[in-house]
Amino acid sequence: MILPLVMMIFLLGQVFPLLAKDYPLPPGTLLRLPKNSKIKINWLVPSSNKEISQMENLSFGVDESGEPWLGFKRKYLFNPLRRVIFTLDREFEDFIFLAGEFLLISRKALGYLVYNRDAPLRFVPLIELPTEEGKLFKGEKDRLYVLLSERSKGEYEVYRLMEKGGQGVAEKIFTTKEPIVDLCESGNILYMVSGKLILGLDTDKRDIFLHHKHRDILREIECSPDVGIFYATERRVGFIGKNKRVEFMEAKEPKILLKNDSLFILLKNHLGVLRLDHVRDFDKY
Amino acid sequence: MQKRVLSLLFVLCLIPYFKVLAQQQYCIDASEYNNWFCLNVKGAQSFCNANRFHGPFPDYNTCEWNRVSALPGDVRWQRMTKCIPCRLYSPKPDGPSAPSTGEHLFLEEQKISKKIEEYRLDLKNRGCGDSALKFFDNVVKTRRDYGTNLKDYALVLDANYQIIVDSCENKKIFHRIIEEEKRKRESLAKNKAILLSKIKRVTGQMLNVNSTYPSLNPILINLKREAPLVDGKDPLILKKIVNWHKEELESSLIDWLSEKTQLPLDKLEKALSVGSLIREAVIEPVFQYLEDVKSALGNEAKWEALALRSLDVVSDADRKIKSEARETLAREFLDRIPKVGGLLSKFYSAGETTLEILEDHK
Repeated sequence: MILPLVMMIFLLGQVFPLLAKDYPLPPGTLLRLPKNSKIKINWLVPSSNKEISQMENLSFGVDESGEPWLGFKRKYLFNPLRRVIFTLDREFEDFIFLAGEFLLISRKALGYLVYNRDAPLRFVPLIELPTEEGKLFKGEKDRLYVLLSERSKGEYEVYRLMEKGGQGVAEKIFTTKEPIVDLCESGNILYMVSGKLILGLDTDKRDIFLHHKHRDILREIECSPDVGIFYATERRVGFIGKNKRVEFMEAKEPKILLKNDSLFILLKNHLGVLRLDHVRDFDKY
Repeated sequence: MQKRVLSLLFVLCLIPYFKVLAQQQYCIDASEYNNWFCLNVKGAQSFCNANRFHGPFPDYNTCEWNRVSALPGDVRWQRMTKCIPCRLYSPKPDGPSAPSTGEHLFLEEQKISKKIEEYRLDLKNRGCGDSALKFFDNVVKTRRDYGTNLKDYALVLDANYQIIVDSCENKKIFHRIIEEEKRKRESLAKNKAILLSKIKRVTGQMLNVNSTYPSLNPILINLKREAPLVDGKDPLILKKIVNWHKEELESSLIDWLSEKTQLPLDKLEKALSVGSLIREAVIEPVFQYLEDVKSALGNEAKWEALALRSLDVVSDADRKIKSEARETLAREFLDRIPKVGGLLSKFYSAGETTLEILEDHK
């Protein structure tokens, strides 16, 4: 179990951001950016040319300072820029960095981490969850969305946790029998990925609408009212804006995260992390 | 006077002897020590031929100091070696300018001992923990494994010292990073409302770090029983979502069929929609007509009108099918649609129906 971790440390052991032109994209990866746009590519973690196998259970997050974190083997949290690995005292399902806290889902509980000197980080469970499977998503204004699923029963539920008048408030937003794999919030719209569809849920109007129909199965979605919507399929990364729609990247199982005007892309099978800056320009060119 | 001169000559004659006495040098006798290793330690055969004597030293105290401090941690060395006058070993022990093999070994041992002390002190100064120092001491203890091969021993010491230094430095860096993170978290906690912490405070739940779930905040468990903001299981919403999926599926199938048959998308879409068009053009007007007929029973005037309309219904349907068919379909196109099963067969049957009806209306 430790061997892939050692490999990962070895391969991700690059500290300084490099320009994409200085470091080639791994084989099978293609990036097409609009000409004359301000979009800039940065390698946060240059990828390996060799494809890495056994990368299952790899989760991806970006903290408040824009540093990438990888959840590995459900047991380790790894910051490749600082070369820090934290071991957790228990397995986790998913993690997210929100309002200065590492939030995690583990064994039917939502909680946060506490530093433990010379020992694994301690998970402090806080909220009991009705199901085992769960994913966490950051909404606007540090709102937390929790997607809980019971695949055996075909039930998917979306909860929202937010601060209101100094108090913590939780709401049940949506239930469905159609599989939901990812979601993001933009303004008052919650976008959800279901198969090849992007569904929009207007929380003000309490209505649901079809936003986009894609030719391939969608795996990930990221959005922002100022920038637009980014999505990832098994092989591509694309953008849906108010004016433009474009698929600008071909890569194997890419994972994406949008933070302000930057899109972070994890090339899972090559363990590289790219950061595309000024991505709102996708809608202009 | 003569007596005095004789006395002086006597004293002068004795001076060389005094000089010898004054220059009495001492050597470390390691014969017992070497023998013990030679006889008892496997792989330490080099001790069998090792020099018995090390030195010389100008006096006993210097010799003894060197002997004790040469291998301070080695009980056998301390017990089995001793300082003896060098003349007992050799009338002319080698001087420091031309050291013997044994003496060379001894000097090397001294150098290494000094290095060990320096390393140990350096590790302490670097703030390495007890575990690092213990690790280093264990490396030092491997001295016996190397016999007279002090070069290898020195290399092992150097390498391990470097590893320990790196490890200490890394730990310090990690510790600093962790401390920085901790500070950041603490300042964030002070200055920023933290969502989960607030929920904990509001609900007044006792936090049990041992994860006994009954003590956790059951807020989502309770919410599970409540109605959501938008219920995807509501028949109307469910129908919407299912229809979107169905539309997506149909368009995917058309793409797929188009790729397989190499027909233009627009033609294929029209071809596949002819089935439903026929239903709309023929079946629905006819059924509507029959409904009207039922309501017209007993009403002679209406009945007459319906009788006239019946001809129009049939001819309208016929005309509509023929014109649509001419525009959209060619028989060879439909023949090229592959035979498919399962879900896809629905779309294929639409084509077949079209074909059969076209045949009838030629």
